[in-house]
Amino acid sequence: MSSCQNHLTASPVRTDAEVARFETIDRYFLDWAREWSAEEVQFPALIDQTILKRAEFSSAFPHLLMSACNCVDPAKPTAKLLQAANLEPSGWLLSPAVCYHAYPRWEGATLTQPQILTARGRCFRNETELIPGRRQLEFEMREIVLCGEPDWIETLLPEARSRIEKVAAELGLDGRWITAEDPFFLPSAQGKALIQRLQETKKEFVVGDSPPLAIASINRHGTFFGERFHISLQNGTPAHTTCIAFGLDRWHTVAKAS
Amino acid sequence: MNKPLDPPAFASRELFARALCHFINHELPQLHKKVPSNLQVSRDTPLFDDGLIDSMGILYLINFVEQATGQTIPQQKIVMKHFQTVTAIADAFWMQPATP
Repeated sequence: MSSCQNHLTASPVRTDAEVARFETIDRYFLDWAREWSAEEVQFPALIDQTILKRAEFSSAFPHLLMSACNCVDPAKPTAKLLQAANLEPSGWLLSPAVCYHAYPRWEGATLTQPQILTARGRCFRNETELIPGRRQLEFEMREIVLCGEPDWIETLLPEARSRIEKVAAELGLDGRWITAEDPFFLPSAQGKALIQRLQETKKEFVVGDSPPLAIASINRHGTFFGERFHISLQNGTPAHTTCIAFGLDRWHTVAKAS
Repeated sequence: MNKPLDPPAFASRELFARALCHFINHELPQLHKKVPSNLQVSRDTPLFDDGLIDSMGILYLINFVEQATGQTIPQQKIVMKHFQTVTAIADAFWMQPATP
């Protein structure tokens, strides 16, 4: 949490100059997406809980979920209004990432050509450790989401890596790629993390050493979302997806520091 | 992973590889019902193509290797080049038994 005039805020409050720098950073990635002829989309902050359930986010990362609630009895006294007993889930969750909005857009489709989409959005995760600019309850993320043939995706990834390195270099950042895994919650999901590590499906671009801070990631999902959202290639097999994610708050923090 | 027990002594890498094949083909399908019971994995069968070893299977596989060697596998050794086949696993993790 950061503070603004003694009020806690879930993400940093930025000045004019900071907003300008933030937008400049995002512009690198937006321009890149435009060069790839990506569809530009704006998604809402709330997401239907059934989408995250189908995407298995709810089972893999329940500890990160944040829910939008409403009051059972709005007439309760103020002291009791927001107590747990008077809250009920609305069915809407706060989006933990941008790309979960993308897959339902292609649901049921048989792709006649590869799809590229980009969106920037506010994301929310119930992190236990909060460090402004590095790990926040609320943060901004841009993603470039690829959906299509696996070979097509693989041909784009070396360029994606070199573009990220180039943006970092232009901002004076010294980064490196590491093989990473998602923070699965249940011990039974430990195998998923091991498979991710073995197959190197998640690569993070990190800066610094104590500890390294991931500012971008490339996440190869294989047919995971293609199967769950029934997105098909023309040969009838599930489409492959990959998302390239940029933690804009983190880029802003480390670029400022450098 | 479970704490390794006193490891069975595999006198050679060859015997270790044979035990691994037996584990994957005969014991793993009993432990993990998603693994087909008619597997015919040989030493050079790719273990991760087509989901042959999935997220539960890898846990059982690592547990077997740790039990068999008496050593915990460090995270930095969990890379595909050490796990892609039975031969790769045996090359990476079999150790000469200590002499009495």
